[in-house]
Amino acid sequence: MATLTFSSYIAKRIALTVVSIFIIISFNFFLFRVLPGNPITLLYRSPRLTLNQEKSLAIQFGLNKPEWEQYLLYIRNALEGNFGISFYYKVSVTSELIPALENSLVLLIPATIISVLLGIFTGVFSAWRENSKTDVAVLQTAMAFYAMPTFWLGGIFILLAIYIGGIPVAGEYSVGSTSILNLLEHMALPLLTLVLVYYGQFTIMMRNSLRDVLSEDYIVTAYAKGADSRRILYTHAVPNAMLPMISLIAINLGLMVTGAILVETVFSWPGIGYMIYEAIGHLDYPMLQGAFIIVTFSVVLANLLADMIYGMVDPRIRYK
Amino acid sequence: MLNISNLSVSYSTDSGIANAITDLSLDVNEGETMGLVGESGSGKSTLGLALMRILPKNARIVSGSMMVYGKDLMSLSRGKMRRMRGETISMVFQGAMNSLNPLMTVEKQVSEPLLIHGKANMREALATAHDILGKVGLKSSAWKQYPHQLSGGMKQRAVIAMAIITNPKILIADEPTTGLDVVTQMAIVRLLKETQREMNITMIFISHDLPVVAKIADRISIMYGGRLMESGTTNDVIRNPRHPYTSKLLASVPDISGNQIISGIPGEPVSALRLPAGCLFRERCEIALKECASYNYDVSFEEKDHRAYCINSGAL
Amino acid sequence: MSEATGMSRHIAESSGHIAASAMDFWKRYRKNKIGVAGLGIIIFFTVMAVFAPLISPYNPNLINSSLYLSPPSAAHLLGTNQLGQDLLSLNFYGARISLIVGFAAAAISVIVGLVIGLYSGYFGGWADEILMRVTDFFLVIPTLVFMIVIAAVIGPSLLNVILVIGLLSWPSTARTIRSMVLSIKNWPFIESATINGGKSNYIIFRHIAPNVFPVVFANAVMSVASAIFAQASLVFLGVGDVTDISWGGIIHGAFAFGAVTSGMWWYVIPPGLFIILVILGFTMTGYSLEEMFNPKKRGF
Repeated sequence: MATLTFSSYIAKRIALTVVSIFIIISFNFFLFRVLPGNPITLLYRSPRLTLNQEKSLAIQFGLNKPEWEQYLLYIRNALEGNFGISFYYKVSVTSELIPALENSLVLLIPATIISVLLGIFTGVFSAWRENSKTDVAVLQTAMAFYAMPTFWLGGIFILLAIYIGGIPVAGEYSVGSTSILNLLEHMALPLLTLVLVYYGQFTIMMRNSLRDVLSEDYIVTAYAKGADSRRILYTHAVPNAMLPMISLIAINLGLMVTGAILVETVFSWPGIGYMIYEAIGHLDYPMLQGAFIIVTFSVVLANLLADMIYGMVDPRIRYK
Repeated sequence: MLNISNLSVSYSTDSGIANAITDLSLDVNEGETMGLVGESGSGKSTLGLALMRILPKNARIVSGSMMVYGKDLMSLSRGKMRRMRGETISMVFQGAMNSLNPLMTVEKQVSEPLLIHGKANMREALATAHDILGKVGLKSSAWKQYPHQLSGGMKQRAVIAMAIITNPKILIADEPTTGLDVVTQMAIVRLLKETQREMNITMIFISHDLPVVAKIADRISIMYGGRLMESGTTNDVIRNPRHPYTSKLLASVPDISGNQIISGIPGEPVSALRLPAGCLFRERCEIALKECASYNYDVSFEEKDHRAYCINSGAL
Repeated sequence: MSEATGMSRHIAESSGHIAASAMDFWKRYRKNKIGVAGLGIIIFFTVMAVFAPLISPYNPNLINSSLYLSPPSAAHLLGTNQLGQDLLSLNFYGARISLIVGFAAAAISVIVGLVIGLYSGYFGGWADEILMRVTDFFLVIPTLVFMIVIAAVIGPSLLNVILVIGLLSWPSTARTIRSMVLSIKNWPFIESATINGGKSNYIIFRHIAPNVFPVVFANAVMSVASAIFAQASLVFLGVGDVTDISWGGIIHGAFAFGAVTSGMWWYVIPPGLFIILVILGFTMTGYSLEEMFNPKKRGF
């Protein structure tokens, strides 16, 4: 009985994810065909490609077949990870994007974890001292960073790094190096930029969530039991406040990804964001749409993961 | 053993100062059950929170004292007061509502007071919790469940178990039957009564429901607008009410078959933000006199332990 | 909520009262420090945008190749860019694009969001269900990536950038309006209008819309901030017309021509400060309006 409702919850989430992915693919198909210009040319015919490459694309994507058949082929290709051939690199888009995705995750995963932890920590601090001077100071700091354009803050750090000297401001590794230390050195500034701009939203979420929880009846009950502040906060309030945070973090992943695109561009970090920036400059449409699909897929899948975690953590869903 | 004297509590709100309790004095004897009755906004719940010293941040105890065994709760340090909560004085909230943490199993929450007060380790605490849960009538299948899996009555039993697990001297039950169906209400009242007798607890039973209170309380205090209107033994107050508000409450008794109120009290309760001078009830009172507007709350009826604060109580 | 409805009833009243209630409104708004500061910032940048030709020392389009990336001097207080254009003048003129895009895109997104929110909240049913799924989708998806792809395909003119930002930003407004309509729908006078056979469109636009207007207004002000942010990000990434003068474009230039890595702080810092200030201005104003119209809503 209990497991039945839990699995139906999961099933519903998976269904919604499939629908989202379907929407993304369809959107792409129509975007490059319905909009003005000559979209087919945009995607599959470039003077830069060889005749053989063009021919094989025409077969793979059924360019001589009716539109509906092209649509089905497009979906199949997208699900198989085939987004055509990059105009600029003249190889399959996927072969360029997969390593870029890995590089992006190397930056994005630690940035997200640190932002969330910093946000939770400052948010708890702020909510516990609600309306005090420290609360206001914590919030104002968070808001100030949040109002900064990501690329601008990145630029400021580059200015500072060059003034100080010795801190790498571009790329993932120095030429020829593959050491972790070298990676961490290169990661420092992009990571710092991302964390500073994006932790503030988590501070505010956590503060509001915890503030709501602190006014719940079961918190009064905990006080009545004689629990001290630590116990109220860490045994009762924070775990309850964390539940809505899981969904909110998932929703805001999209924003983090946007930030990552800008930061990668600023620091020439060879991830998907940098690929997008370069594709805009090169008018490399297949690359652009491939990157778009991979980025949106990743965000949608991360949301599915968050929903599943939520379902497992909240007993009200686990044992219905 | 519990003596409240001249207690006043106010809240500062956006619309001004709200006087929730004004100059309230109340004595509760060891081992008895005191029923505290009033409509919502009468200050009865504020009194419960004040006794635990867990009032919200915007509340302030303006004056008065609350003595337990001759010791003023107000004079205790925060830490000492905290150690009294859940050990010497416990509180039962409206369990059908949100008073249980949705993320903790029932047994964990019930055993928590023992851990907080260092009376047992985790294993012993759980064993004691099972013992108490069994006593209040929760089957072992419910012990490892989460609050949302329990019915309102079961949750209320768990809340009671949580409050009595430390063998407290004083138990404050704030609307423990509200939100439950009539049959469950009766079962909970019976459980509280039995527990109180068995453990010789001094109980303050807070409710808006006078008939329910009459079933359990040895003595009854009636509150209105943050002031005491009448107090006395249950028998005296029910059989021979000396305040028009009490008789109105008695007249609005639900009938036996259900919850139907036969006759409510006309008019709105006074607002704690703007308390009128004189008798607080006079706007809604059928026997109000001109002099009521200048009444200053001297005891106007006293017969042994039975007191009422109404200058026209002879007209009843 | 009661204050919000009181406010909106003022607005819904006949035009004779509008001047009086505007005065009344201003009296209340004036007491809000954050709001007044925000409004001051908006006015400051509006003046800068309108009078850019008067306050700029040079014509920003004037190219002078002998002044390639020159540092600040008496003649050029913020130096010059790679084309020898005066950076101070460029920064003044940049206010124009930011405000135009901000206001126009916000107007589009709020109008679309208002209409969709009103209909979906009022009629409910499957249309409402679809709307909720669509907004869920938009909330999750990184909108900027969407904007980049669409703008890249349809061509990055100023109008297209406005359209793309406006048409991709409505879901959050629609959501807010929808939830308000759901509660207003149950107000007695709306119910009686419905029972008396009022036409749906009449009820929606005559009775419901005036009551959501204050919140829409606050929402619109906030939307300007996010539209300005989106535009700056797009231009920075090279999406948009590079010949248009904008703050995002100046920062783009600073990176593209090595000014940042050469430590030319005068090139990159001012436009960023302007963006931050203007965004704070709109956010503070919108936040204060929201607080006034809907005091129950949680801060920040």
